Amino acid sequence: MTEPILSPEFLATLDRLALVTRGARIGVFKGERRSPRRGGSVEFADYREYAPGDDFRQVDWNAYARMEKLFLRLFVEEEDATVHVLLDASTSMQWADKWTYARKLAAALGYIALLGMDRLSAAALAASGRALTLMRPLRGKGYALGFFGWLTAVEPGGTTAPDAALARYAAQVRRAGPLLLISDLMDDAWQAGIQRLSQNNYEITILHLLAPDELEPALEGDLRLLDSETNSTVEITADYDLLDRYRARVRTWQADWARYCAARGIAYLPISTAEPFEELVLGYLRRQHVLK
Amino acid sequence: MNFLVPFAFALVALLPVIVALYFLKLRRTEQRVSSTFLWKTLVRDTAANAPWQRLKPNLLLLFQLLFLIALIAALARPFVWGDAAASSHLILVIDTSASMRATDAQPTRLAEAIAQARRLIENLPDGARVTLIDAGASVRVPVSGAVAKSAGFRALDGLQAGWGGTDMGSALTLAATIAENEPDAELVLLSDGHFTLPENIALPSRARFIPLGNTRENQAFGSFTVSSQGGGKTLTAFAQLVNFSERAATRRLTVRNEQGQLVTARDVVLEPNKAQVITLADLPADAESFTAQLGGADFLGSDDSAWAVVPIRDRAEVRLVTSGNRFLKTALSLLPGVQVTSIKPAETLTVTTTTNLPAALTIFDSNIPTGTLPAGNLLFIAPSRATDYFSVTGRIKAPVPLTVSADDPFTRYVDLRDVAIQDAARITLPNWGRAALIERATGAPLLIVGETDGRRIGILAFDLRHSDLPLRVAFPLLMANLVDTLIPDGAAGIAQNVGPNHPVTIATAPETTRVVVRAPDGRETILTPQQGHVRFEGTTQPGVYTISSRDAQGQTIPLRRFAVNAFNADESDISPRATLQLGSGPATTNIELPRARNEWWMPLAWLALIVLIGEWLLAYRGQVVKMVRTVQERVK
Repeated sequence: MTEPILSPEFLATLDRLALVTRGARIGVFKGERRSPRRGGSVEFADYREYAPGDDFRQVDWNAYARMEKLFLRLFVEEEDATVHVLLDASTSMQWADKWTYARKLAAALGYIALLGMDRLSAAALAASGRALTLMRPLRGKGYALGFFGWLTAVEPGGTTAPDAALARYAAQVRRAGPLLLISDLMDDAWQAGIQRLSQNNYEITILHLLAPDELEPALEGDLRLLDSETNSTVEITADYDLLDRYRARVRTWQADWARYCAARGIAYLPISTAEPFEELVLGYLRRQHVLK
Repeated sequence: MNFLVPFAFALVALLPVIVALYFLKLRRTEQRVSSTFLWKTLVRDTAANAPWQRLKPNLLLLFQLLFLIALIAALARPFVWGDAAASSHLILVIDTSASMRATDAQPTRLAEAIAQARRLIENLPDGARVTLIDAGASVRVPVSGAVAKSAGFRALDGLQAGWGGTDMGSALTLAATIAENEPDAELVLLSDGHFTLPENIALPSRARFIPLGNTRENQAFGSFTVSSQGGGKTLTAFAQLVNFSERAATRRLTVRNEQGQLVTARDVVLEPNKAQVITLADLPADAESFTAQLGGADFLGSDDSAWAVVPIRDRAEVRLVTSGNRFLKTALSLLPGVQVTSIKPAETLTVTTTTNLPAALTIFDSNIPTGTLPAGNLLFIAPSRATDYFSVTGRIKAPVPLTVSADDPFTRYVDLRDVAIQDAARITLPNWGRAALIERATGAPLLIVGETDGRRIGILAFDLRHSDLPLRVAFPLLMANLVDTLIPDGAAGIAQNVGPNHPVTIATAPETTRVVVRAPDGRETILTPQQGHVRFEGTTQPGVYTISSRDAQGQTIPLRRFAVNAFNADESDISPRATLQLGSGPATTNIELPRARNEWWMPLAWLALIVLIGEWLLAYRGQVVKMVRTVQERVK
């Protein structure tokens, strides 16, 4: 019996949360999110002149009495949204506790999406030796266990080709919507892939996950660094200067990502796995307006 | 540069080994990381800035090579030959006489001597001791056997050239005594060589002389006096000028009065190696003192000035306490500059002199007062009983006088042969006096002269009326000699011209409570009279000193002036001596100095240590910074 990804107590605390979307989108089913369509909710939206075939129940008889013309009262339609959770499952994500952390984060966000009657679409990149592992879209809280099961079944350890994988995802999944990408972004090709997604009208939020020893490496001496993902090597002398420059490089890298995302309306959230998970979900993500 | 252990340079072979080890360090440990993505860009950045970035790792190699080079250099024990004294005890004798003020060394001979002595102390081995003997007019030992070099430096800084000569004999005797039980002690004498060494002085075997000075170009005052002419209406000055150089010199002689006003000036041509007396007549009679100066420059400026005080025109008062002695009174009255007052023995304590000062000399002729003896100098003739100054133990019948020494100033030209004396007092020779005339058979003193308690005292043991001496030609001569000896300082009891550091005895009136002596630089010394006189010992600088007395009411009465002059032909002759016979060994000079090794391994070892610490800090600066931050956080 494997341990559940999220404890029942923590899941209970997630019941109060919902994903924040930045705009109205056309959904498939009735849901809890504003739709650009006019529909049958109680929230008034607009008037329009009657046309033959319209539902008489929507005619505003008070307006007819005043102006002797038939007007229909239009109401806001509330539909579901398709929430995409993309999880980087490349080998580099296995480093330290990054994978556990990333999977818990994906589980929490997916669970919140299911709670909100949204359509949840999830995919793992570079899992089980495949570039893209798609999950069948789910809707409704009842599918939470199925989602957790899918997450548990994902085996990380592949090599990322993020641009191709993301392009494939965009091609296979028709409905755009809020997209939560959980990755360490340890590849130059991530930007090309994200560029492709942003062109498809996704509301992208990047959760940039890094382990503490990736932010502050505790290395010393003359080393040959072996890439866990690609097995490529880099020779370094881990002295004070180099480590100092590495730390500066990480800061610059994160700042570059922040600038890149800001220019494209993408939310960018750098996250250290040293941060307690509960604090991340209940505090940090709410402060960053990812959850409410 | 020489090396004690040149074989240490074999270790140079380690240099390429270090370089090789440095390259071997490139065998790296494999370390798995999540991704080399960021590291790759970092290494790429490093490669882009190659010249600067690659220099940093090489800094360690540089430090290691520098450390090894410094270590090898220290192990090779490099040294240079120096003129240092390598002894365990350096005894420095430095001449501080007036001639050391000569400026033929920069800035003066004494400063040059101090600089050389400083170098000798600096080069002493660790643990060596330093003794400094200041060979001035009186010998001082500012530092004795000090291990700390700083003490030697401080003592050297305190040395000052005096105005007089040097007591080099005492200084070297003292040095020899100090070095007596220390075979490794070395005596170094720094002087221009103007002194006479005592014979048979046993100096340490390691003694050397460092000569100072290189010229004899100097002209100086030999003397400068002023005398009154025409009953005090005009004054005439006599200046003796000496040219000690080998060439004739023209100097301008100027004379100023005590207010600094120019009185007379004259260009004087001084022949080489000759003394010349210049007479300057018709000087203003109202002046109290004169300052003479030689214009132009030579290498010793301190002897180019001279001072003279106009002599007072009063006569010395001699009080003769006698019941009647025509011979004595006549002989005294014939002496120039003497005013004789004759009184009866009973009047001794009541009579005062015309100047309200004690008499310059009081003569007790066959009597001694019952109370306190008067102030001033005293001459006892035929004392009938003992006093505080001498004891009378009996009588000598028909003594035959005998002169102690033919050169004695008291008895010079005085023929006392066949002088008949009826009897004389038997007097025990006091420790303050000496006998100028003795009894032939017993050696008992017949004439005693000496100085005690600031006064001069003479004792003539026999009564002149019981002798045929007053009838002889020798009598007035003897009396003149006695009075000259007993009144050495003229009428007011003050010398008018003394040498530097010579004490001056000043007779005072009974009501005087304080005597103030003002030095040429304006400093005042206040003295309290005791037994009718004060003794002033602060004649440290040449010039005119002013004496004032202050009575109980606080009234200041100017008394007299006296001049202090540093006339000293030995010191004015500044010709340096190149060699000097020290003890029984050969004459030594600076050229014959033994050489000593000054090793440099210590600073090189320090350099190696500093480089090693620097290398360590550079290599582990990450940990060091962390450690410092941890400590700072804990402190907070």
